[in-house]
Amino acid sequence: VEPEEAEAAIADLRQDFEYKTEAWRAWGPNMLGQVNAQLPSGQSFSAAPAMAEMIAEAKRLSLTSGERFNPAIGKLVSLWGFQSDEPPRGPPPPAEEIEALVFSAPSMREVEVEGVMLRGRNPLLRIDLGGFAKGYAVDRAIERLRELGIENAIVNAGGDLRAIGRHGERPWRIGIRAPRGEGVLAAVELDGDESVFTSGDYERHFEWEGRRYHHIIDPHTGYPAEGTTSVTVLHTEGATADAAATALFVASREEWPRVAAAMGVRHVMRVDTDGTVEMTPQMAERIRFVAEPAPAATLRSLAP
Amino acid sequence: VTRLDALLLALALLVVGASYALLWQPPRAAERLELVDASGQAQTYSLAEARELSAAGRHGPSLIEIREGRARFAASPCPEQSCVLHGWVGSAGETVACLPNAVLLTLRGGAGYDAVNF
Repeated sequence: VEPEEAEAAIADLRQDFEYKTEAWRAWGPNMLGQVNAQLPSGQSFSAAPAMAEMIAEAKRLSLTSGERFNPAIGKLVSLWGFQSDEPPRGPPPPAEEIEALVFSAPSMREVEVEGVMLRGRNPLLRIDLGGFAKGYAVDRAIERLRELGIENAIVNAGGDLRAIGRHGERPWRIGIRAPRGEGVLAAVELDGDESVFTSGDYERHFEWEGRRYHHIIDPHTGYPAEGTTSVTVLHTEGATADAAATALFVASREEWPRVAAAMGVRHVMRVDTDGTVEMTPQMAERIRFVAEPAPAATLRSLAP
Repeated sequence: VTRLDALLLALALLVVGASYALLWQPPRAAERLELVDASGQAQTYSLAEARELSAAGRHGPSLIEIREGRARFAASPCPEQSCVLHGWVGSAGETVACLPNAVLLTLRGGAGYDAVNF
């Protein structure tokens, strides 16, 4: 499109992103805050239509992931100090408090959604849309661009992105940064409409007494998920790619192909804490390692 | 200045302008370093990882440093030190040579990304 048209669209999206970042984050007095304030009452209440729709979608993805992506553990995320603009400095929270919240096992099953009406059935349930909101926002932005008649674009939300169309005569070229150290690990070409989302332990974290504590909390243990360094997912929808990257990060090495299949995600690359790279055959067809030496990658077929 | 001279001058300027438009490409970040030592052996290294390399030269080892996607001659046993003074290079196609020591580094690759996911 013409530069002026592109600039107008970019300004439009930027404003919308700023609004959503404010409205959807799990802290501060905002749209999600109003929902979280009313969930513990156990009474039915109405939410803004956009908010109710988003929570319904987060619930659906949580259940398909076998609750490895679990937005109902807002209290745990808050206890760890990750619900803040500033990353926490430690120490990790007391074990008894973590255990109490894990024991209460908040689940999105306990959030009833009927149109715009919501009802919570667990007093310790609070919603945190981290691991989903970014993908969902990127999807809405792409919808908006299409309404504006823009067919070729990348919407990049801090490294996670969705691309439509092409870069002139060639596909979009995306680098996937190496989880440890500098530089690009692999490259992928996107042609048509696809999202690339990565969840990594290097994003938000703190160190305490020589140990690293990152922001992706395993709902079953209440502690940062262990064993994974990063998971990259390619999928049309950003929301699905985002939730799947989180869920597959939490999933163990044995179970991740089964979780991916359940979520309808076929392109996955997973880097283990010991440096092992595993990926689906579909992903192997798409990405090309550029780091040297190229890591040895093991193919893992999606389990039925 | 005759009319023909003026015409030729105008044409020459046009050719200069056109070649700029046709041939000028913005620099692309490099991905790999190709290092040739005094024996003529070439080795390729990724620019993704910080490291120090030693290349066997005619008068002793040249030290090459890789950091943050760039490379430089950190030290070399040559009188002028022009290779060291050249400093960091990071774009595909850039070359630094230490002629006295017969060590050559060339930056390669760099498909150029539209975005980097992390």
